[in-house]
Amino acid sequence: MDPRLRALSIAIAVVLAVFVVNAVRSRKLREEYSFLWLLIAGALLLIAAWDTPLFLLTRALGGVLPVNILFFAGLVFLVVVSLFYAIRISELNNQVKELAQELALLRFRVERRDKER
Amino acid sequence: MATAPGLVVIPAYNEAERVGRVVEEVCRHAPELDLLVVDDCSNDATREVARKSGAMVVSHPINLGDGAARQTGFKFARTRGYRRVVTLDGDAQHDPRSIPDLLAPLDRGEADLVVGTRFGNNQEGARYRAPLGRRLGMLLFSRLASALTARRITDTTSGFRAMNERALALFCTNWFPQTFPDADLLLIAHRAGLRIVEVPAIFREDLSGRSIHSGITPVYYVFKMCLSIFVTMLRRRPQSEEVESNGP
Repeated sequence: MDPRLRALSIAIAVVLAVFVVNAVRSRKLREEYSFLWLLIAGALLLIAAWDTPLFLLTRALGGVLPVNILFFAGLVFLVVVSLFYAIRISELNNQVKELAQELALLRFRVERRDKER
Repeated sequence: MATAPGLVVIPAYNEAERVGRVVEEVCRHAPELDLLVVDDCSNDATREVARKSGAMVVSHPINLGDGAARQTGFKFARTRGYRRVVTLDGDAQHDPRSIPDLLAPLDRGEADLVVGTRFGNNQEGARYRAPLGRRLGMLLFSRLASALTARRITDTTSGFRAMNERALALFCTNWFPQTFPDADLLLIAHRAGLRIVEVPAIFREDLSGRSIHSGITPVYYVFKMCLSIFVTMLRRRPQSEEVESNGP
């Protein structure tokens, strides 16, 4: 691997890891969501430092260039992540609905009680 | 059980011009029933108009859609001990004169869920006219629902329904579809062991010409309904103890 590419990969991995850890530290990101991104930073670092597995994998899958395998893996990862988020959003939608219904019903009861007083 | 207290649930979104008339008509034709308008976070005066006309009003803090508004009404009914609920749309499409017809099968103990159908009566001005595409869609889903529930269902999209406690318990759970609870709802009710009966009801033309089924919505509607029916068939049947325990 070209040293410049290697340096860039390591830099991106480190910045990503620092950013994620900092987001968790300042409570902007919950621990359970940080896991995937730290995993990606780790994988990037590993490939930059030691690219033999990437070349082996490329040969095993019949790829022409290792970078193709990287792009492919990245694409698959992004699809999986967006699906995961779509599921989370649906769950949150349901929770918001339940809360809003409960709130509406409780507000009715409170207003009625206030009127009776 | 003819004296069981009943509640009329009217989901309404931006219906300030018509909801007052609906409430007034229900009071005139079904004075023994209580009346709840579920205001789905309208931008207009729906809430005030409904309250002024004498209905109880529950207001969503955010817009949740028609299905959720109906379910809020069901949850209200359950927590307050109503044993029968009638739903009708806030746009005056459903004629409250048909309410006794919808409640009759419940009172006779012949049904758990009664659907008012716009087909099957010949009263003047009550026959339903719709664009060809919508008629085809309605035909498709009524055939599908009839086949899957093994009974004749002519009107799957009717929001004019009456139900007893058993149906109410099921509809308060997350089995109740959040958007367009139509053919899939009937299928879910059937699979839960509820008895569904259709009775003719009086429908009026949509007075404004405006409909929820416009723009991209018909395409999504067909997709949603097919998918929903498909996954409902994949799920195991609603269990009665699960329905009971998931109540409010």
